[in-house]
Amino acid sequence: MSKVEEILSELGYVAHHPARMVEQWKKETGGKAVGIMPIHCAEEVVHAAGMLPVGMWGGQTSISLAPEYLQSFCCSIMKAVMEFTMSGAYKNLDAIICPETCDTLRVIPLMMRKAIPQTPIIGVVLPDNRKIDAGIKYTAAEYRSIVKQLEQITGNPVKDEDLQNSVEIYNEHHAAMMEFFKVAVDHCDIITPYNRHMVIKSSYFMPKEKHTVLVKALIDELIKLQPSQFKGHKVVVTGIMSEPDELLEMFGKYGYAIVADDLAQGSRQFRTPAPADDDPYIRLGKRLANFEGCSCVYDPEKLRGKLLKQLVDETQADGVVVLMMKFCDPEEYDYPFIKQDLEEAGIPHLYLEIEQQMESSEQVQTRLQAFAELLEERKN
Amino acid sequence: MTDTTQVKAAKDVVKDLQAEYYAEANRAHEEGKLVAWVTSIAPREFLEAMDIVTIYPENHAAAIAAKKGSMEMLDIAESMGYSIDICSYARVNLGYVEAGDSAAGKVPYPDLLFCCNNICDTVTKWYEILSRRLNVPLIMIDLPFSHFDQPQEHTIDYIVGQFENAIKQLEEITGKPFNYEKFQHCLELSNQASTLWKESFEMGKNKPCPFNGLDYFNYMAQIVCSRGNEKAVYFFQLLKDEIAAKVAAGEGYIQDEQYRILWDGIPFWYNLRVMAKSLKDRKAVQVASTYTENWALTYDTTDLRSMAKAYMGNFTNREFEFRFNNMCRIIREYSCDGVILHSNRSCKNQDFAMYELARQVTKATGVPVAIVDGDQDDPRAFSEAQYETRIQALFEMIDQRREAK
Ligand code: SF4
Ligand code: SF4
Repeated sequence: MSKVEEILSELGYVAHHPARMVEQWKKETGGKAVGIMPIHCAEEVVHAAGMLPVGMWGGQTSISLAPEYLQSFCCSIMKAVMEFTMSGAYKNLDAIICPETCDTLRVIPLMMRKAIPQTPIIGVVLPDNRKIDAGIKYTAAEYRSIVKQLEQITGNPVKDEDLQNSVEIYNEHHAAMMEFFKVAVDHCDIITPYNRHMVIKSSYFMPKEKHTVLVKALIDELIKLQPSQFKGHKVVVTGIMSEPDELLEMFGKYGYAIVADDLAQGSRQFRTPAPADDDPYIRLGKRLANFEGCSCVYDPEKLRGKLLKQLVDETQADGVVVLMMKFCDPEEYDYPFIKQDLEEAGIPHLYLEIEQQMESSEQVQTRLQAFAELLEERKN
Repeated sequence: MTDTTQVKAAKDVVKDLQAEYYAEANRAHEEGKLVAWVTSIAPREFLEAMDIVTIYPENHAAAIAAKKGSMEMLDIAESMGYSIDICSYARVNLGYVEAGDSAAGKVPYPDLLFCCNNICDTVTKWYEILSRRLNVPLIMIDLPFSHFDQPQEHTIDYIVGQFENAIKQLEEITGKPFNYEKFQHCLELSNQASTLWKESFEMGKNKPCPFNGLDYFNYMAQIVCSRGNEKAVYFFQLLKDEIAAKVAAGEGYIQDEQYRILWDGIPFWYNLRVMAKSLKDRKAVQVASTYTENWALTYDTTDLRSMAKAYMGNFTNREFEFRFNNMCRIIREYSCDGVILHSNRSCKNQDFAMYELARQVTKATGVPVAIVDGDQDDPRAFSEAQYETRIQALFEMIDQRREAK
């Protein structure tokens, strides 16, 4: 196995074994673990409290318990989250933080409190008016409030220096991820859509400082290799996430490479660094103020189309694939302007409706194949 | 307002007022007055103070559906790429933006937008789209969802900061200094109207219930669009007096009422008839609704913090215990025999707490609950036969419970 393969296989293992990773962390450190629901909550506060932040982005499971709480028209991520909640899959989490991202996520934490009353469910509500002074201060205060609640769980106070340190560690991790995405463009044969996702997903289940080391090592190895002469279709993907795994395997099968992403689970988490400030909480507030182009963050200018065009230009991509999470309001509202902006820019795009529990992949296959043909024709 | 309205019943007056409202808005717009599109529980007092005409896309979308015109608008929005899964108010309104006319007539296009997300996050997305599509400024009032029984101080600080920011934005948009004096007056009128509104619907506690609760869905237009000016005070005084007279005379909407029902959620605007009929046939009366309670908004008029707290306090902006206790309270105070919850395809914030709410409320009060599927503006999500079956089952449960007593 080459060094690159070794690292990818390690990350792939982590991505597929969140429960084991939590167990291992607890055994090794004696520390606690805190689940973090999508989409935007600064994990740094959990890190600073000495706990392991664990991403909770649903997963593939059959849905049998969740309908006790949720109607059929709930997004599949939250159906899976409710299913896992009820089946006991989260029993190793000492608390769960739940940001209010959309109408669905206003309610899910309330239902989790009913389903697992023994686990503290910490709500966080980030501001829409995130750029005004009152908004930045409010973000800071929300995070202070979370930290207070976490302190009660650990019994240890979190000092400002602790959080400053965590913010630095995360800035470094995020920069490494962005660097990896850039380097990966030259190695589409190795960094397949599936492998690329494994690098992202694994970051949700291991301490960031460790993940940074692995990602940096991966970058170093990739740089040593000759850039690949990729003949397939380079695309930018946008949406909440690119799961399930079969979807990514289909991308590979039909000759696609993902050269950049605008996924909530992907670069939206990494692309905006926390600026410097003496107050670490204000740093987190300012990062939210500077962040752009997400369906779950207030954006009256609707900049996402512009941002996608920029990503296409930078990576010389052939097109965009919109991975539409079925029943996801924020993404569904954003789509028509994305469509308009891409059409105006002459960028072809594919609209693909996905669910985490995809029952039939035939339609997706057909559409991916047809889009591949269209991109091929455009090249000739 | 004409003098003849004095002798009319509130039910007819509200129709006149609403017609006048749209006519006046269109006229004012032609005369160059600024028009804002506003969400239903926004602190409109800020706009009233600056003489800005307010239009409520939610109300307009409801009116369009009531006139059976929603499908036409939904088709337009869906052809633009708006998913059938998003709120039908938004889809109808986004369709209307393109169509420029509707079954319920025209409303003037906005010069600015005023969005308050205490009702849902949907409106934030919807108004962002309007802002870009119509190229007009958006004033966003973000009233954070509350996970605590009382809002935290830093949340109130943030809201007051936004109020101050909104004042600045209004001054820029209108080119005039903010009219604090008029604002103060609007706050007082708003509180008066809300108090009268509350006093009127609370008379539904009487037996027999003096009104048909469904009428409140029509009165609501006034509390939404005129709260903060004299018209609302005038109208709700009239309404309150009318109902009080009925109470004094022992008059009921259905004299020998058999069942008292609490309705939760937005009605099916395109099919109010079926709602009315299914109740009336059984001598049942809708005595209360969680929806109407949303505008029973009062606060200390000398304190913006108090105003902030009041505006973030509607039940869809609060944690489960509030929603639960609130429903139990209404059931108790209004002596309800049954509850109908509308599982509304449009409104995920209300929907996803509903199954648990139904279980807990029945457990705590013993009152049977029916969940009916539908949508407020999209008739495709509603099946009359299924509705009737669920309602039938509800009344059977109520009867069984009575027999068991
Ligand atoms: S609706 Fe969308 S943003 Fe909300 S929880 Fe589901 S996937 Fe996430
Ligand atoms: S129906 Fe529900 S989702 Fe739609 S605007 Fe009203 S509160 Fe928001």
